[in-house]
Amino acid sequence: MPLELYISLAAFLLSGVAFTVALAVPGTRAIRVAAYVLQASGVAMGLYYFGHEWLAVGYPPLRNLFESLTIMAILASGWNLVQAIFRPVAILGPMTGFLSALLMAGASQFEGPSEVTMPALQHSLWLTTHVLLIMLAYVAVLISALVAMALIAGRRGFNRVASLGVFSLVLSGCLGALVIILLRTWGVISLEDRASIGGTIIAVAFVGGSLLLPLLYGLASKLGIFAAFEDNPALEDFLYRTALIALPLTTLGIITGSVWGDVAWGRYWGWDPKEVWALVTWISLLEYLHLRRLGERAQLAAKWVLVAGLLTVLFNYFGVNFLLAGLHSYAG
Amino acid sequence: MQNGQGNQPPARVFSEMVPPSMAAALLFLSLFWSMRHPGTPQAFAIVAAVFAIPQLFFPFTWRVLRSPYVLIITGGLIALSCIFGSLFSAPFAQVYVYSAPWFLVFCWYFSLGCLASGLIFTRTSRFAPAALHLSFVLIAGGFALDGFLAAEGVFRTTMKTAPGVMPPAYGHFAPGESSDTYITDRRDPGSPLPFTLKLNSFDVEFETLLRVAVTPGIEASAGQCRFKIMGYAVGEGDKLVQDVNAQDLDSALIVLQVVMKGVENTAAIPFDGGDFGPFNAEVSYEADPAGGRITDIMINIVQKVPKHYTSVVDVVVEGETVIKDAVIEVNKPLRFEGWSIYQADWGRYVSLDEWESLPGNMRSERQFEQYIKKNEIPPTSMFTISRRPGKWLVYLGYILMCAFSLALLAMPRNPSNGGNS
Ligand code: HEM
Repeated sequence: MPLELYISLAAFLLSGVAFTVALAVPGTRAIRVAAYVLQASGVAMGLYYFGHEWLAVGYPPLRNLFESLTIMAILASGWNLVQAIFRPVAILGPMTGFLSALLMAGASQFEGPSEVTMPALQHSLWLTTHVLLIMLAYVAVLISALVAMALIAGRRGFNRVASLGVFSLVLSGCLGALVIILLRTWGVISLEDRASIGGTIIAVAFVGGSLLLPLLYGLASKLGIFAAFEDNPALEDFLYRTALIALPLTTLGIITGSVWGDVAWGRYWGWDPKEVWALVTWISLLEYLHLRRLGERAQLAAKWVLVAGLLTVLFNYFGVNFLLAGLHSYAG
Repeated sequence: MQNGQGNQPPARVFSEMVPPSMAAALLFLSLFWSMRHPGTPQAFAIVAAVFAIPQLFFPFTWRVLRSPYVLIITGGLIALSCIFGSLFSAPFAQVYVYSAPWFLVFCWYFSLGCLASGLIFTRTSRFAPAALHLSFVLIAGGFALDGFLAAEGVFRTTMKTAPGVMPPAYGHFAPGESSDTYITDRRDPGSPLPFTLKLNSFDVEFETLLRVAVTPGIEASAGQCRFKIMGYAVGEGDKLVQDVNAQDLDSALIVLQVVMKGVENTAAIPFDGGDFGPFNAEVSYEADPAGGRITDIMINIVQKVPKHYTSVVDVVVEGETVIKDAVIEVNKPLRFEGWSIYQADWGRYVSLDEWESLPGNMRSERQFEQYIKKNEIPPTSMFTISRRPGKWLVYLGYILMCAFSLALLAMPRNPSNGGNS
């Protein structure tokens, strides 16, 4: 990965830490400002790299997993910056800071800028628009699902444990994937094919998740984090608005992909695994928006559906690339 | 209104009993059909209409359909089916999941639910949600239409497969060749097209993807590939030796380990070089004329990938050239009277007749490729052809859906938290 992006990764990570401190310690306005500055510089550095690469190859560099993860990291933090201008949401700071850092760290494990692409994937305006929109949509889904998890954790009892459990599972899966790929690059472990890498990551996710859960639960109870999410109408409203934006973004992402499929392959819909999983994400957003009007219990179910939406995005990104194979395998 | 089923007028009980029964019958029929006649969704749709359409004449159906629970249940079933289908290979999932009758029934009720709720919004003059829901119905309608009317295939051409040596050449045009028939698979006798496509010329431009020099004892890597010389195969037996003498040069093979994207393979390359897999190898060495040891062995490996294909074609209708020298490239299909012709692939093939006339010893892959190179046989161009008349309905739905999603976003709203609207 180029140096610019390592700087960007560090800036995102530090901004996550600074946002957390600003949130935990009252009266630390300066730290909050510093956090925003760090996050903005991370985004600027990422955009600088992106623009530079764009000029070098002559079209937007969105050709493989590395490049799409990079842009997703930029978009996640960018989302928080834009949100801060219109209507700042406190927990979005740490959330997007760490999310971007994680995405960028993920990007660092892939092969780097693409060298040559197959003809069908070269500088097609539809393809570029499609990738950009679908990344933006996935960022919106990730953010709304994380907020939904937080709100579910604001309830007492089983839901709190279950929500934190899913969070631990996903977190340990992502961190585990990073560690496994690093160890493999360094030659400590030898996993050659994609399926065995995927299987190991899933095993690590479950083992690490069950260790992480009691740890996070204890920590969050001690710091009073759960209480902050209990009965939080402002956050509920933010969740609804984000999902309401995520739906048309996903719709647009799918549509532009469909038009590209028509132009490049003669099919606007081919039931390819990537398409199908994007459709499932789309349905999860639809279900959230329709369920939430049906009363108190349906509201809770609606949030769980969003959490399922997060899992579909993760699966689409990693599961489909590592465990299933499809037309879209260019993304890896 | 009275409470309890028993006190309701019989007509009302009847009108509320029939639609669910028909829905149940439809679901049962779909499951039965899925098991008995897989791969015949069109026939199913026609038979199912008997159970599906009469339901629409009962007001009760519409009252149920416009409930968001219809979306939640059918949407959930569709999502689960999609996940299930993605676990199988595409052609299998296409027949047994995505065009299976039970899946079509879920889609049918999903779309009807959307239609019903869209219509309800028009009654309360809520224009944006009405239009949004109805535009989805347009998309679903386009899909359904294409379920009956779409056609897709490749042109029937004379380039043939030579068993054992050449990969299938279905649909490949040699320059100068023309075709007026398309086939959907290799057993299909073909269906006529309303025009003839003639390939005037075809050009493939290559780009070097990978260039690497491999010497004995040192592992070389480039891109996602690694190469290593394992030894030499000389004469009979599969034992590898670590040295080659000049008198064995003609028969000796360099055994190369190739790891591509994590997959390990071995290749055997003669000392005069040649192609293996997607690579081309040039071998250089020093030979001691006295028949001693071969030294300074180096293999230059080059992988070239096509960067650009350009086909120039004519479209001929009843002997008259209606389109002259149209250019087809990847991402730039040719559209003609509802048909779209796409650049799909390229290849190096000869006709079966020519292949039959080759001497027998030419019929190994390597010999064949050398023959093609030596005789400068031009590359062949492959197109796919499709017609999807429902596409325009789908695209109209897309545009309206985007427009009204934005309209809905821009409109002032009451974010009803939990309460019904
Ligand atoms: C079975 C099919 C469906 C039913 C029964 C249904 C029903 C409803 C109902 C009753 C509402 C409440 C609107 C209101 O009072 O403000 C609604 C809202 C909405 N529907 Fe649907 N719908 C269906 C399918 C769809 C589809 C396919 C889409 C996607 C294009 C969609 C997108 C929306 C959106 C974006 C809203 C607004 C949500 C909000 O503002 O909270 N619906 N739908």
